[in-house]
Parts: sequence; structure tokens; C-alpha cells
Amino acid sequence: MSQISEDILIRFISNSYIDEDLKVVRAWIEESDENSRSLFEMEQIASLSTAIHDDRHAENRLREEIRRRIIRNEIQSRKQKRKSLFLRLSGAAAVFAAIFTVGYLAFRTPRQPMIYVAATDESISVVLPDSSVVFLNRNSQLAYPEHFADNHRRVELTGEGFFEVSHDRNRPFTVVGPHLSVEVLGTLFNFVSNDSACNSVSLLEGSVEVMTDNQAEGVVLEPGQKAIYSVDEGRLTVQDANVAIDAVWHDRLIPFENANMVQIVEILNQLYDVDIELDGSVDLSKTYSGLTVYYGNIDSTLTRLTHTLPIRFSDEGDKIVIRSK
Amino acid sequence: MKIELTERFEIIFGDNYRRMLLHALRFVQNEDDAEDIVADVFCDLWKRIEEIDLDSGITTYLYRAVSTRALNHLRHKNVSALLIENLEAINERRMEFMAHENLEDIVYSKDIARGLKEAISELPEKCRQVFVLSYVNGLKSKEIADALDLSVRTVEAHIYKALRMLRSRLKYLICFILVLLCLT
Repeated sequence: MSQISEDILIRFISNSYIDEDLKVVRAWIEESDENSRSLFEMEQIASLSTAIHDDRHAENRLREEIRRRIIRNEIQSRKQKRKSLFLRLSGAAAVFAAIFTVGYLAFRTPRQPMIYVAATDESISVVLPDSSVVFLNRNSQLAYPEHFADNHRRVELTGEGFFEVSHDRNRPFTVVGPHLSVEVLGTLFNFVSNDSACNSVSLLEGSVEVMTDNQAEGVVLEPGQKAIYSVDEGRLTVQDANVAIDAVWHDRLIPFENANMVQIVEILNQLYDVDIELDGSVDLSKTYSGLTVYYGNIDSTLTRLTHTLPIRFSDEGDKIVIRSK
Repeated sequence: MKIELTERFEIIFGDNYRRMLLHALRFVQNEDDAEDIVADVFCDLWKRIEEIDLDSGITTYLYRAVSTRALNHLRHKNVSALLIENLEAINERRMEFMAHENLEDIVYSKDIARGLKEAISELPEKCRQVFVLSYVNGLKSKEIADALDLSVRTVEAHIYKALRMLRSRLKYLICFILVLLCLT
């Protein structure tokens, strides 16, 4: 293996290469498979490392950009009145969930213009002016000002939302609902805020204070806790809960962390409201960690799991039975 | 049918966009251009979603689409033909290398992430710090150099050293065959 200057490889990997470097790198990787493997494996490790950290803000920025382009395409194709193309592109409406089913109206008052966003048939994500991200579940509405004030950030939620609040200690973030309000410094949480009998806040990271509309009590939640408010009784209770499950709808991924089959089945029963039974043949001593895609129906999710777990399943009337493979 | 495609498109996007941004940066060296290229590729994927077989090799397809678009982007700029030719030749080798790997399932595995996190935590202190700031937190070499009071060259050398050490440490992970690994 011939020697290549380490400086050149360093510049290449860091994308700070100069023109002449490329010629040398090219000659070097064409010389042997081992050379090219060593370079491209390092690139792959770099690429995997970027995925360790969830950069949702960057992801959402790009999502917004793609959404804008798809809509622009659609407008152009409308102008061209080319029906077949229009029909195809109008499917794009479905892509980013509800942009076409969303009522998106900027509503101006002299004092503070508010923006109202609603998700009807599909959940959507909204990037707020402070780059916080809100995922709105179906049949939910969010109202926020075009610009946040200097000393606080206030939004209104009806329905269900998952919040990724960007940290800003000088401007507390408050989500106000019909019954509860949540005050935040910078955090991840899921908020069910509607007119139903039971409203709740599930905290995944950070810290929030939950206040009821009668202002009498405020409760500070720890990560992993869920505050449940019974509207009829006017009572707020806090319990430990599998809070990750409450947030599954927003990214369509089901997380398992050192879970055995009993725990996995519990999660699936809860998510899909089904009755899954474990056959005696299933090994309960093994635990699994990972993410699986949250499909619209239990069969697809179980099918996906059978690719990676040593199980098979069958529908047996009103229940599903899981057996060892 | 359409709804199902929509869901799949969203999943494909979530699984791939970071890798595609990084890939685009290997050509254009400018984040705005890279984002532009990746956005174009995903728009195009949506337009053609019914013609494309989503079950086989979608990640490979995206890598190829990003490469092509990035090279075209360079051709429209005032970039030397020789540089483009070299980038293209290197990229051909890269694509051949990737064809041997099973790229599709990587993102589903937390175990790869855990193995990688462990290996990163075992790097020498300075090397680890620079590497995490760079790839994990997404800072540019210049920003890291300013923050840690190092030269850009030293920062890049740390990154390279980290990648070299991780590569030898992670031989078993590079097979990329783990999906949900049994931990017992």
C-alpha cells in the first residue's frame, strides 16, 4: 500500500479539500480496495454519528422547504392546466399531512397578529418564531403570535400537541388550554388539552409546571411523570408513566428500551387497543432495545417485528397470539 | 393507497435526510446549497413515488440522486472540469462500496447508536470533545477551533484521528447487519 499524506485525507474527510487533493485521493482509492474501504468506512461512521443527535430543527426547516416546493409545483401545474399532472401533484397535498386540510389564516389585530393553525385529518408539525417545534395531532388547533414578546412566549392549544420548546431562560414558554396551562423553560412534552373529561401532560425531558384553570395549584413534573386532570372532579394527579408512548403519534416511532416481550406486548396493547396474548413458548428472559415504525394497523407493526424478533403471530378471533418462531 | 405512500414518504425522509445532507456536503462544501440539493431530490422522489420501487434500495437511490444533482450543480458554477471529474470518479468508488453494504436498515437500530456512543466515549479526551462537537452537534471546524482555541488544522486532525480509531473499534458494527439486537 502506497503512502498518502495524512494531511490530504484529513482535508478530504473534513470537506476542506483543495483541488489538487482530489487527484491524489482518487489515485489512492483506485489503487486498492483496502484503501477505498478505509476511507468510505470512515465516511459512514461520520454519517452515522450525525444521526445520534436528533436535530429536529434542521429536519423541520428542510421539511418546510420541501413542502413549500411541492405547493409551488402544484400552483404552477394548475396554471398550466395540465390535468394529468395536476392530479398527480395534487396528491402532494397529502404529503405533508394537512397543509391543504389545514386552515391557515393569519388574522391581524393592531396589537398582536396571531396565527391559527389546525390539523384535521393528519397530524402536522409547526415551527414557531422562536424555532420551537409543535407537532399537532389530528383535530387539534394551535394559536401563536407572529412575533413573541420580549419577556414571554405564549401559545394556545386545543386538542393534542407534542412540544419541543427551544431553551430561552429569559422568555418562559406557556401553553394555555381550556382547563390546564403549562409553563416551560425548554423541554419535550405531550399535552392533551381539550374539552374532554380528562386532560393530561406527559413530560419526556426537562421541567414544566402544570397549572389548573382555578390557579389554586401548580405542580412541577419530573421527566417520566404524567399529570392527569379530571375535569369533573377538578383534581390534578401525578403518576409515573411510560411517557414515550404518549408521544408515539408525533414521529410514528415506537421506542423500546430494554423491554422484554411482556412489556412490548403491553405497549402494543395500549397503542392499538387490541388484545395480544403471549404463548408459553415465548422466551421472556430476553430484552430488546430499538425503534420500530408505528404503522396504522397492528398487523403491519407485528409483521415488521417478526423480521427482527424470534416471534410469529396469528389472529385468533378477538385476540392475537404471539408464539416463538 | 395515497395515505400509505404519504406515510412511507415521511418515513423515508426521516430516515435519510441527515445522511443525504452530509453526502451533498461532500460535493458542494456549502450548507445552503446542500440543503437545496437535498430538498430538490425529495421533491422529485415525491413526484415519482408511484414509479419507484420503495422496497428495494431507496437509500441507494437517494445517494445516487443527490450525487447527480450535486455534480450538476457544480457544472453550473465556475468550478474546474478536472475537479468535477475527480469528484465523480471518487463518488463512483463510494457508490460501489455502498452497494456492498446493507444501508437500508441502519437507522432502525438503537444498538448501532449505542455501540457508536460507547466507542466515542472511549476516545481520548480532546479527540472525543472535538468529534462530538463536529459530527454529533454539527458545528463547523472553524466554530470548534474558535470555541476551543485551537487551529482549524488541529481540529480536523482530531476528527480524522477519531474516525480512524472508531473504524478499528467498530469493525463489527460496520457490517451493518444488526437491526434489533438481542441483549439478553
